[in-house]
Amino acid sequence: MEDSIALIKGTMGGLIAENDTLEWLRDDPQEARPAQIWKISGKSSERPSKYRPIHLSSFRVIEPIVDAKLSSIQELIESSSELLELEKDWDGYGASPISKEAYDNASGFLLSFASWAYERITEQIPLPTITPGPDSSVELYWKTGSVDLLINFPATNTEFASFYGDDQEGVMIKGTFSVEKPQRGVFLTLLDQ
Amino acid sequence: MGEPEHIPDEDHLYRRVHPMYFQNGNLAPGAFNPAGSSISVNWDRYSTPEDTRALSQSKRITAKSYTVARINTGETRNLTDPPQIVEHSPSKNNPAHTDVKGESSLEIRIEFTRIAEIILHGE
Repeated sequence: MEDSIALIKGTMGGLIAENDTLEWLRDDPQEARPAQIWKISGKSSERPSKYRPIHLSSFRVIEPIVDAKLSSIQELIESSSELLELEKDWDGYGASPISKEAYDNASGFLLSFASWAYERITEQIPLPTITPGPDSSVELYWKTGSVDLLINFPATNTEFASFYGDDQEGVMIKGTFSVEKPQRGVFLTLLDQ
Repeated sequence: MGEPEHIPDEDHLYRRVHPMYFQNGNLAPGAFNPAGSSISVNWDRYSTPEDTRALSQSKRITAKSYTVARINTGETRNLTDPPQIVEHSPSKNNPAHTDVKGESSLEIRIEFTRIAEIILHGE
């Protein structure tokens, strides 16, 4: 757990104190799929029930300003969790409830992508919409100017996601990527035009 | 139930859109998620935007919450990657019912959002 990263929620500097609240963002700073946001408290390896164990002593802390810059992404993810409550035929066209694994993959990717992008362009990426896709999948959709980017996280074959994006002026990207090791640069290049 | 008819290219098709798929003035590609192998729409010869919205069976949100988008039949047929087929499929309760059949790729659903026009906003 030497490379684990947490972002501090709220203003704080220096050592992590006993009752500070952290947001667990990802397992590995390189490529790993991030977890959902995990609010944890205390500096021991123990955690509140329903949250997974975490060793705070192994944490490296990113500047709190990063957390503030990602707050709207986090709020979007938190508000989108209502998707998990949709029942069969929620749309009137017979849609199925969405897959929790697909939702976790989509929200985890978004948080990871936003954090990764912020480290490179010191700006928050545009906010996507998070919506149900076909067959219980979950989709992230960006529409910025002439650019459309759609990423689908399926309910089956969940280790991969598919994407399509273009700027209507000749730039087009399309393919699949491993959810565990996403290639984020191509998305940032398209969105950052 | 009437017999299926040919839908001319100049006619339009209405699609009911759940509020989830119309946010900040933008249609999301999910507005054109297929149900099974086709997208259900209503032919404007036998339906209106209000009729299309009223057909909602949802018990969770009101019919007026839905937005209605309109797509042109000819433009739909011009989508070729992958190709889409417009097929009138009237039912007992809905003589306007039409299926848009074709592979539902990510790009084709984005294309649908580009050719769609919002004709009735949700309330």
